[in-house]
Amino acid sequence: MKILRFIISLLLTVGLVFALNMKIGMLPPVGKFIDPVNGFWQNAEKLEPEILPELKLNVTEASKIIYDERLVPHIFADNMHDLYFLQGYVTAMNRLWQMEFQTHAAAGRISEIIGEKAIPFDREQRRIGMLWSAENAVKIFSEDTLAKQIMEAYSEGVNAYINSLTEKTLPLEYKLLNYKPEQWTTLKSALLLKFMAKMLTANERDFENTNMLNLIGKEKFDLLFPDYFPNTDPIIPRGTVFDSVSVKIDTGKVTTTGKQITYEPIEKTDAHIGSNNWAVSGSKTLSGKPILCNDPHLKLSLPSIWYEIQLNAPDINVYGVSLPGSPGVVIGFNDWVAWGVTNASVDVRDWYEITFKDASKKEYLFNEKWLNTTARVEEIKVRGGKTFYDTVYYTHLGPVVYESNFTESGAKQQNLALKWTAHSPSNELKTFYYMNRAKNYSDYEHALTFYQCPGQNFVYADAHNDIAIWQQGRFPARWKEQGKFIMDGSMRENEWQAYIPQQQNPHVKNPERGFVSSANQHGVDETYPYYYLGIFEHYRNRRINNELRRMQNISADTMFRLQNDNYNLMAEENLPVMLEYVNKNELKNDSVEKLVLDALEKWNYMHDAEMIGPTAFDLWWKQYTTFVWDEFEDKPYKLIKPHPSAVLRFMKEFPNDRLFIHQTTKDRTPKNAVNLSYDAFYWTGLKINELIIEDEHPQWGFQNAITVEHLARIPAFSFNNLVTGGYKYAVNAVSPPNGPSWRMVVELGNKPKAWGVYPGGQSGNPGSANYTAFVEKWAKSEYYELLFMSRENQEKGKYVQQIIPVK
Amino acid sequence: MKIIFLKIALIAGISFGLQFILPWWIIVIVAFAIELLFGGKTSLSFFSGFYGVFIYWFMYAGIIDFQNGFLLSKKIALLFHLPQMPLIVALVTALLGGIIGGMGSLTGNLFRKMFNV
Repeated sequence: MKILRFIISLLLTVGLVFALNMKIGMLPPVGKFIDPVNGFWQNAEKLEPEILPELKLNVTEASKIIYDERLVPHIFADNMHDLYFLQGYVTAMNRLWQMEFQTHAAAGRISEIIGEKAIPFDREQRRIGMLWSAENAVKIFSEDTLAKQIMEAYSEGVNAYINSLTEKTLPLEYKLLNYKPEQWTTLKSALLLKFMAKMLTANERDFENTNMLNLIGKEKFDLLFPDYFPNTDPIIPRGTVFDSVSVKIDTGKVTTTGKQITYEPIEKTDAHIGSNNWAVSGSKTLSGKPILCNDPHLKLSLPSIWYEIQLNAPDINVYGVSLPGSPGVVIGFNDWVAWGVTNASVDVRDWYEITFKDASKKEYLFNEKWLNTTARVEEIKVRGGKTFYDTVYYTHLGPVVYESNFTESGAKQQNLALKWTAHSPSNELKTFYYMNRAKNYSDYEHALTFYQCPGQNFVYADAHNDIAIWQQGRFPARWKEQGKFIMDGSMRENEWQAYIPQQQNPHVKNPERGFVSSANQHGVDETYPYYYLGIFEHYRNRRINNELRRMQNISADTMFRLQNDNYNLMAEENLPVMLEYVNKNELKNDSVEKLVLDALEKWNYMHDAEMIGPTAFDLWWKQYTTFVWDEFEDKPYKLIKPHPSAVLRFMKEFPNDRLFIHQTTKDRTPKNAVNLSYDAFYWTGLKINELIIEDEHPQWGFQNAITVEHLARIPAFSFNNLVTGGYKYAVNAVSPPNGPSWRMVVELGNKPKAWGVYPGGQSGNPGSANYTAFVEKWAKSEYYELLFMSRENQEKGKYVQQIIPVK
Repeated sequence: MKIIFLKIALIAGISFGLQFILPWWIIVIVAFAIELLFGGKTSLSFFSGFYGVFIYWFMYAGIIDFQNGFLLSKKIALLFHLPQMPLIVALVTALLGGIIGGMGSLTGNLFRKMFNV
C-alpha cells in the first residue's frame, strides 16, 4: 500500500514535470516559460533601462556607445571594423529575434519554427528563388573586399551578442516559440536585402492582366488600364529632355494563349505600400538652406522595421534609420547631405510560360532549341515532422515557380517561370556605404551606381544647396507592353534583351521649380525613350507637388504639416461627379441619407480622425466600385479592378456603358452610372445608421484604426486599434495595415537639424517600456528632434557605455 | 508543528539558490529532498513544497512585475486569456510552481514513509 502510494505520487510528479517542460501544440513549455528565474519574467525589463557603463567586446580599439533618452545608440568607433561590429552588436541586443525571424521568412524556413502549417509559405519563398538569389549575393559580397569586411564585422558583432546569451537572457519570442538563435552570417544579411526586394517589387500584375485581357479584349483593356492617366505629374518634371535610346532591342508581340491563369498568385505587395519623399531648395525655405523629407509607407509592424542609429568613425558621421540585419544607415543624413527613398514601383518581375520537352522537365524550348534545366532540391525542415523536399527547375529565365509539382491538384496547367532583377547578383551594400559618407552631389551619384534592386527614388539635398532625385535600379529595356501579360518563354524576343543604361535612369538636379519629389508615381512622361511598366500612384504625388509649388518660406513646421496632410485628391476629383447623381429632393429632411449628404457636401476632403465625411465617402466609394465592377467579381481566377481614375473617366464619358449594369443582383433593370451611384449612396446611409445605432463610432479615426502587428502575429504583442487620420490617397497614407513607417524631416545647413518618428520603439522586447514608446506620438503627428552628436558634442547623451577591447 | 515553517523556509531558500545554476524543475527535487530528510505528517507534506515554492516564486515574479510596471504581465495575461490585472500572472506562476513543489514534497514524504521512519 505504501509502495503504491509512493509510486502513484512519483509518477504524477514526474509526469507533470515532463508535461510542463515540453512544447505542446502552440503552447511553450509552460514550466520553463513561467519560471521566474529563467522564463519570461526575465524579459520584463525595469522601467529605467539598465545600461552597463562598461562592456568588454572583440573590438580592436576602445570605443563608446552613447544612448540618448529615446535609447538611440550613437556609436563612436575608431575604425570601420569596430563601427560595424558595434552596429551588429547593439542591433542584435535590441532586435535579435526580429532579425532572425525576417531572414528565416526570406529563406523559407518558418516551418522549422512553427511546424508544417508553414510549408506552403516556405515553398513559395524557395520556389521564387529567395534563398538561391541570397546565396548568389553572398558570392558577390565575398569577392568584394569592402563588402566582405563590413559584412564580417557586422556578423561578428551580432554573434558576440548571441554568444553572450543564456537561458535567462534569451529574447522573449525564443522562449515562447521554444527555439534558439543561430550564428549570424553574411547569408542572413543577404536574405534581409532579398526580403526588402520582395516586399517592394512583388507588385507585378501579369496574371491578372492576362486574365483581364482574355476576358474583355485589348480595346477595352486599354481603356480601363491605360499606361498613363490624365494629369500625370511625373517625378522628373515634364519638359525635361531625355537622351535617345542607346541600346538595341528586337521588338516582340503581345500574344495570349487565351487560357485563364487559375493559379493563386504568390504573395504580393499591397498596392498601397508606397512612400513620399521630397526636397525643397534653399530658394523656397525660410533658412535659405534645403529641407529634405521622407516617409516610407510599409506594413506597420512590431518590432518596427526600422532601428534608429548614429554611426561615427573618422570617415563617417551619419544618423538615420537602419534595417536590423543590414549594416549601415538606409535613410538619413550626415554633416553635409541628406537622402531618402521611395519605391520606384517599376515592374521588374515577369512571368514566362515554359514548354518542357517531357515530364522529366530536363529540357525546355527556347529559340527553337531544347535547353537544359537545372534542378535544385530545396530541403524544408519541419518542426515535429518529416523534412519536405521540393525540386525547383531553373531555366535561363529563372526558376519555374509554377508547374505540376506545385499545384494542389497536380493539375496540368501552364508552367510559369519568374524573371526578376532580385535574382541577379548586386551589391546594394556599397550604395549605403558611400551614401553614408557622401559630401556632395557627385558622391551621391557614385553611390547610386551600385544600386540595382529594389528600384528606388533616391531624393537628395546637401548643405551646398543642391537638390536632386534619381530613380535608381536595374530596369529592363522593354519593347512596348513587354511583360504586361504572361509571355511565351520560348521566343527569343520575349526575354529581357538589355537593361536601361544606368546613366539614362530618370533623374533631375536642381530643377527650376525649386523642389524635387516622388510618391511612387510615374518617373517620367511619355517622351522618355524607354518603355516601362509599373503600378503608379496618382493622387498623393500631385497633392505634394501642388502644395510644394504653392509654398514659400518653408520651415520644418510646414513640412511636418505636409507629411501629415490628410487631403484626399481622389475625393476632390470623383466626389462632385458622384454627388451630382444624388437626387436631393428625394431625401427626407431628418433621414440618415440627408445627414450623410450634408456631411459630404460640407466635407473639405480631409481624412481627419474626428470627421464623419471621410467615413461616408469611403463607404460610398467602396460600394459604388463594387457595383460598377461587379462583372469582375467571383471569377475562378484573379483579376484586378480598374483604378479610380478609370471610374471617373467612365462616369464622365460613358455613363451609360454596360459596365454600369448591375450584374450580381436579381434586379436586371438597365442601370447607368447615375442610379448605380444612387444605389450605393442609399446603402451608405444604411451603413452609417448601423454604425451610429451600434455605437461603433462612425468618425473616420475609428474606422481607419490601425493595428501595428507583431511580426509573428501575436495579438498580445501588437499595438491594437490605434485611432488616427489619413488615407491611402492622402499624403499621410495611413491605410491599415500600411502606413508611414518613419517620418523624417532634415534641414540642411552648417549643422543639420532633423526630426523624426516611427510607430514603434527602439527595443524589440515586448517586455520593455521602449517597445512601443513612439507609437502614440506618431499617431498624433508629432516628431522628436533627433540628437545628432559629434566627437566634440556629446553632452546630451543619457547613458555612456565604454567598449573595452578584449585582449 | 513548527517544523513545517522550517521546511517551507528551506525549500524556498535552497530552490532559490539552486535555480541560478540548475533548470526550473530543481524545485521538485529540493522539495522531495527536504521532506525525505525531515519527514512529518503526510497530510501536511504537500504544503511544505507548495508554500515553499509558492512564496518564493510569487515574491520573485511579483517584484519583477512591479519593477516592470506590469507591462509584460498584462501582455502574457492576454496571451493566456487571463484577466489583465496586476499580479494575476505572478499569482498563477506561483500557484503552478506551488503545485509542482507540493507534488515533490508529498512524494518525498511518501518515499520516507515506505521505510516506516
